[in-house]
Amino acid sequence: MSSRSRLPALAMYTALVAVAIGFGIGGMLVPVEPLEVLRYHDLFILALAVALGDQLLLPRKVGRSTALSVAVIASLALLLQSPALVLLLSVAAWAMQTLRSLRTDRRVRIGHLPASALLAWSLAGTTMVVASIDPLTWTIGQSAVSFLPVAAIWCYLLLVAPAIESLEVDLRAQRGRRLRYTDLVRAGLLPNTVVAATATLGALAYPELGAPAVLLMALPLLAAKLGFERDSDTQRNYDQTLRAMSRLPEQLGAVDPGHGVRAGEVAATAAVELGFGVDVAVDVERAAQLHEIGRIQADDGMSLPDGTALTREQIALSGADILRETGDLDRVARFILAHRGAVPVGDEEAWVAGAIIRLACDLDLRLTARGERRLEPSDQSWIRTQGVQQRIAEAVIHAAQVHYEPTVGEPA
Amino acid sequence: LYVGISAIGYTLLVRVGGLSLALLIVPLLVARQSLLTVQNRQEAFDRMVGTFVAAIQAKDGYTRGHAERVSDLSVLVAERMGLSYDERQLIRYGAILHDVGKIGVSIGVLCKAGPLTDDEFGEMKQHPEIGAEMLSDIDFLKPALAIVEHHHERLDGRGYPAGLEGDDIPLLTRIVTAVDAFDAMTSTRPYRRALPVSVAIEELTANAGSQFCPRVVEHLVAVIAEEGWELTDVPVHAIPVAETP
Repeated sequence: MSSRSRLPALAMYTALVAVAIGFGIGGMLVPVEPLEVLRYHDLFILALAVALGDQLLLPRKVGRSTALSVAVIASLALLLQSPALVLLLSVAAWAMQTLRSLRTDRRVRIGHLPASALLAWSLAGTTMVVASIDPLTWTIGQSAVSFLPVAAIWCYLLLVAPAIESLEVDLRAQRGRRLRYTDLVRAGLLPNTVVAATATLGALAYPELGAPAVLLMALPLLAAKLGFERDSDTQRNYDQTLRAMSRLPEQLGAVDPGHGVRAGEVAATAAVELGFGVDVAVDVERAAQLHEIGRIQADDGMSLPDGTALTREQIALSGADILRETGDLDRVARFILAHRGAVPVGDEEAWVAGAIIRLACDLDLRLTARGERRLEPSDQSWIRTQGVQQRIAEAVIHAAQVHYEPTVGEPA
Repeated sequence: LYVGISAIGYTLLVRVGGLSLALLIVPLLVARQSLLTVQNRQEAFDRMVGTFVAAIQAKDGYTRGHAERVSDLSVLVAERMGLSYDERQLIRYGAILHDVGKIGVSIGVLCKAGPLTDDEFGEMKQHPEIGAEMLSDIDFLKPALAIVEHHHERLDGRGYPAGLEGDDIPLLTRIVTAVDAFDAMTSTRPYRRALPVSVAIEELTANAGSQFCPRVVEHLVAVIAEEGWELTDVPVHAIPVAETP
């Protein structure tokens, strides 16, 4: 996402935070018992602010899932108090996230919606516990609910301020500057703060445990954070390696540079639009990326040693064999076979996935072609030529409109 | 670990109540599950790298297994030199992928049973840079790219592609360079049979300081001796007689 497209969201984010602070300070200055709805409103705004803030602020390469996953755990641990608020926050976060996705890059990013909702839960849970601390006895109790504004400011200082700081890191990273260790530390402030705050609150909630309570609460959270960080890293490495594999046929000169990656992006978006779940959509993207991998069996990627040209079916068959050897890409191999028509009877998932891949591949070739064969993303005529697969073709060309600029198709 | 967690959980349950179990146990279970997922994914990732390498080696049957052997032996040398776990992981992946750029070299050149012409050698010399470029988008491999790109450099600066010399060649790369040469010498190639291990060691030692890093050679020879290879005095990786013109 470009820094320019972030500006509206950043403005909204800043406004939300300002409103939250306003509520907090106002609540302190005006000695009025806050209305119940106002209290929820305050929480709601703060939760949304942080949910949006996470979207904006974490550098892409550091991994978004860490902060969100810690938030999940924090919410599991603390948010056992108000199901209605949980529902309200999750619906609101979902709505805001969807709106923002449509406004900015029009691509609904898989996993953002539940992740944002869970982050909102976390903040709500943290805030609610802070709100119930009795400032005189320093124990949790219903009598302290009216101190919610203080809690709001506290949450702002602990959660939002470090996140704003990391925005600078992100913007600098976008300008091509390499992340240094200090940048990574800053980028990790949000998840680390969530861990620390959650552990502290947990300890405050159980004063009878004494001083070791903070450590006791923090350790499992840190372990979970480590687990999610590792998971995030490994997943990223895995995807990047698959992407590198998809470039092998390009090295042979048999495929246009970037063809597999472009087809993969379009196929994944189309798969989501056609109702596939996250895991299947990811495999559709991988299959589209790797649909030409079978070409590496030939020296030049196009013909066998005896001089006969490789058929598309041979390429698919060989590619599926290569991927099956990993033991982890069976579904990807099945989709690659399906894109050349080898679909088991009754396997509708493979049929649709195969059609998506074939159409995404064909469309990429048309969008990047020269001369009369060249197609513009806005040209709908291509859809009508796809016969029974028109519905899928519509999704694919709609996805292509997201990923291709009208002028991007010109090959170098 | 389980006993410790159980003890803490029991204490919390008795002193605080059921909610405390959620505070402690749920995050730990989530952590355990995520680490198990990491372990499974790491294994799948390793298999994928293996498939990646196998796909490339399919072009050049004479070097089948070469990458795995170079990787295993490089890790042993790195371990003997006291390098850290992270460095050993880097050398493992860097070594197994060091010839990945050969995908861009034609079979005619890779499998030629005879000396390469200047043009053919020029084509062959491109493989380190092709390989580094192919892997450049994989974040965790970036520190290992030097291994892929510079594993044909020589200590005296007469190597390729950059002509680096001395300490300008990273240590991990110097390890892989020596191990790569050792494995190439003890493997049967299209143009010659495998050399005995003792001869290969003599070659390494003779070229220490000019082609190879003396410290690396010292440790490599020690590792080979510890593994018992020098006692056999036969090509450990020799392919059963493949007559070549």
